[in-house]
Amino acid sequence: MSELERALTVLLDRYMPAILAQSVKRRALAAVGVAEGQLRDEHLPTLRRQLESGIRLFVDAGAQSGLMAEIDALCSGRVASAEAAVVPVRVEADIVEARGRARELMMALGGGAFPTQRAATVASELARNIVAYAGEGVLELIPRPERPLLTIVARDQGPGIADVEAILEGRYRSKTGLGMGLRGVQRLAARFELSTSARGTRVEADLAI
Amino acid sequence: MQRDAGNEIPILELWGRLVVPLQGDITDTQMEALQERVLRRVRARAPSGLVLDATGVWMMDSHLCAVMGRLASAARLMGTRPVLSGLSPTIVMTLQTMGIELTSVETTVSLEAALELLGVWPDEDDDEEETDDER
Ligand SMILES: Nc1ncnc2c1ncn2[C@@H]1O[C@H](COP(=O)(O)OP(=O)(O)OP(=O)(O)O)[C@@H](O)[C@H]1O
Ligand SMILES: [Mg+2]
Repeated sequence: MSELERALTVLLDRYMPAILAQSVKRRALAAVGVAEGQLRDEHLPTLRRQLESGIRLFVDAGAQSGLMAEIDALCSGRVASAEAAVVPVRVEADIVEARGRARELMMALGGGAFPTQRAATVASELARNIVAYAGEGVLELIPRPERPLLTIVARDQGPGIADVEAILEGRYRSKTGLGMGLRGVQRLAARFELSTSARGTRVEADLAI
Repeated sequence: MQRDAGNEIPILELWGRLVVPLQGDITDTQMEALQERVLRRVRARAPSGLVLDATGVWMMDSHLCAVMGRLASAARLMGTRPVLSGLSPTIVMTLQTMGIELTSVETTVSLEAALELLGVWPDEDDDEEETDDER
């Protein structure tokens, strides 16, 4: 699968359940006459129209324009070198990989020393939490040259976080660390969203340049 | 860019003080192992100070801070004065934004300053042992 197609998949996944995202993508590809895995830059303008009709069906009305804007950015940003990355996270080496990629992408976006440090730190905190508490998961690193910022999404299907409020308000006493990871991520991020349940945790953070 | 996890961080002995030049992208395993080795050395050598030099460190997250703090506290309990030196401005600003305070350990701007704090004076040749620790 091309980087482009992967980036598109990552993008669609963020707006709808994976199974719907998959079918929206498949339908659009079929309509353009491209086999899965064969998507190239020149297909994008046509694909965009096809994706739009699928998105109208499956994505909340309020989120549609946001998603289309991101698809446009993906299309127009094709010349940029910063490609979205998906880092599987399970063992300690993956933490190193995740923060290294976050650093590279922030630099590719033109971020200076401080933004680069912030992005790497956020990736490190989120990846470590996955290894420590969820067992496994993924980090998605999505550069958005048009904003510009780097979106970091951490997803896992672990046991979830018990007392998020206490953690984010700094009232939490960690048994395993300083208990400053998530709160720190929130403070480093321009936008921070956390959803957690017994079926897993998802943290999304925008890192400004 | 990624350092080998098996890479050992060296522990140097300078004028009766232990110096640990932390470098690059430090993995959790490396740091755990280091902590143990440093404490064993502290016990064996009873140095009058321990410098954790972070000049070569590019990133510090809350976990690394915690381990660093624990190492410093343990050294102090064993009777050795710990100093953390050379944190980069970007690391310091990031930790500050996160609300992490490294209060459990004294800090200095450079390795040189850390050694001075521990009573090593570059100008005096022989009697530097006497100049430290008048507590
Ligand atoms: N992905 C996750 N899945 C399940 N529990 C989590 C997850 N992330 C964090 N937690 C829980 O939330 C708590 C707070 O996490 P946070 O990262 O803020 O601090 P910490 O990991 O305990 O310490 P530090 O990050 O400072 O080393 C953790 O102790 C853990 O119980
Ligand atoms: Mg943590």
